[in-house]
Amino acid sequence: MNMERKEFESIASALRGRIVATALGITRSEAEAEDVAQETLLKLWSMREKLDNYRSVESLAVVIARNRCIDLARRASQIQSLPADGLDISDTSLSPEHGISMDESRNETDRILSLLPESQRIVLQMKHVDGLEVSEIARLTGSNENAIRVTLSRARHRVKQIFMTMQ
Amino acid sequence: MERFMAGETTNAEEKALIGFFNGPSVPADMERYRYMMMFYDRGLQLPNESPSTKKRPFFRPWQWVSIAATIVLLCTVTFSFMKTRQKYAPDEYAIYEGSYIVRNGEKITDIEKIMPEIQKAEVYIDTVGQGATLDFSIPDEDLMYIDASEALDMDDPDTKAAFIEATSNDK
Repeated sequence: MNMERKEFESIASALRGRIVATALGITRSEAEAEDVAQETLLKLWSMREKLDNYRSVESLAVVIARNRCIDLARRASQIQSLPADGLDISDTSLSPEHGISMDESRNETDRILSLLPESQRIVLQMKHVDGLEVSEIARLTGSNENAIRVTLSRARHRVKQIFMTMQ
Repeated sequence: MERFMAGETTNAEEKALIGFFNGPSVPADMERYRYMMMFYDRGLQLPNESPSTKKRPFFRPWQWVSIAATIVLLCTVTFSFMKTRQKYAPDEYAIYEGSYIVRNGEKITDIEKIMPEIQKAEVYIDTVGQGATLDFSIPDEDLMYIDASEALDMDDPDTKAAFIEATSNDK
């Protein structure tokens, strides 16, 4: 596990610059580019066991980052028509032709997690499944701790909302 | 909890928080929070029990103590009451020692069987006694006087003379 983490950390720090550059080219916003980088690296972490199947992790990262940017733009254009509830579950996992498929079991646990935006879901998994501290998640994804804390906090508030309205 | 929601807790702090929610001192209205914390504790897996089906024990441990105390108190009161009855019951019968009744030519001396008869008799005596008191009650003087004057035959000159004499003496 430690080795795996170290390995991912070095891949992530090497990829981060490239991801930010890609995102900046699309969104023209540094803040958004940072968000995209965080989300992309979180996504890469969640698929770390499958990364060996890809010829180039870098081009995979670029594809993910681009999809993220498109989602951001789509979300921005939907904001006027959608209540700012965060209910839009933009499943931005890559389409099957990219070889990434989410296991879609339909049990209650998955249903709860599916109500969360993907980056929130992944941060939750890193925290509670992988047992990482916020500082470790930040280091792995090359983002600052505060950004991870904000994502984690949003995830927990969303989960709380789901639990409090549960039958 | 606030810090947990803000994403500011360490893994160790979260373990302690979950420990609290697993403990016995969680208020019933925190049941949903408890359920949510179990979800985190199990690595984002829902506990098998749902918050609605999982029932808290009807009585908390400290409540069992008071329930036990109540039972002990009730037993004590009941026992002492029974002892008191046993102590006084023979005395109650004792004054009727040697009593008997005859039913269909058979002499019954069993105190348990004849007690109802004795009680009936006592009630009867009480009733008669009250009636007797009424019968012998002394009428008031006015009544006596009216009765006496009505009884007098005023047409009889001797009686009339005696009556006049009696009333004139009063003046």
